[in-house]
Amino acid sequence: MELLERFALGDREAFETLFREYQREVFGWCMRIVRDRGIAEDLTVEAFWKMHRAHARFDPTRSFGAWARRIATNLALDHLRKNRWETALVGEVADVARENPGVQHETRQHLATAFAGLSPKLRLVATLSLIEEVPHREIADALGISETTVRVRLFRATRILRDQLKQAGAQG
Amino acid sequence: MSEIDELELRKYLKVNVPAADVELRRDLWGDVARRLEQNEKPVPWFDWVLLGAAAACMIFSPQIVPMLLYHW
Repeated sequence: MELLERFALGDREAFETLFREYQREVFGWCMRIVRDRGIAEDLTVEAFWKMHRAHARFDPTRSFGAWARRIATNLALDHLRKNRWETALVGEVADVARENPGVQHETRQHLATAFAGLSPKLRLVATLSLIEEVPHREIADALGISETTVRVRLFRATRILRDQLKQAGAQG
Repeated sequence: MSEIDELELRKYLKVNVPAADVELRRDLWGDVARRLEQNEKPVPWFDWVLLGAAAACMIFSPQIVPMLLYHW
């Protein structure tokens, strides 16, 4: 019997094999969204636990990777919703400061505030597209929305970010 | 709002915010296995006794139901 079929039937060994195959991919995806190693690890564990619980609903004829990414994306989005004002780009911009002391503290603060001001849905799309440069198709698949919707969200996010950065005098 | 704005913003972010470090530095199987085991553990007998007592109270003294709901 195929690995995916065994997983769908609740085989724990098949689940572990899939976990080992996909943990890096799921972690990397969560990391791109939340940009915090500890949170991304927690989300990865939570995502696989959910996958294990939902094994009977998995269709073995479809891609496990895409299914895993969809579950991880929903969890990451929930995390952004619950921690809207706490999870900013602060950690990452602090790293930039270490690597490039020329980057002004003020600029970093403006960026963090501007991203934190976006709604979770817009922020997720903006982070993946503008910072991580993930193709629209991949973002659409992960969120279960159309590419057009991704473009619309990106358009709105860009407008808000640009306005906030201009207001703060950070861009230009 | 033109496409140039989006490109400008991308350029600005590229300079100021790096892509995330997506390298997984430890195996997470231990955490997942622990989570699965926690979920698979049988419910302790004492919890069943408490549940039974609560159910009995609700059956024999239904007037406590609103009070329980209030404190839920």
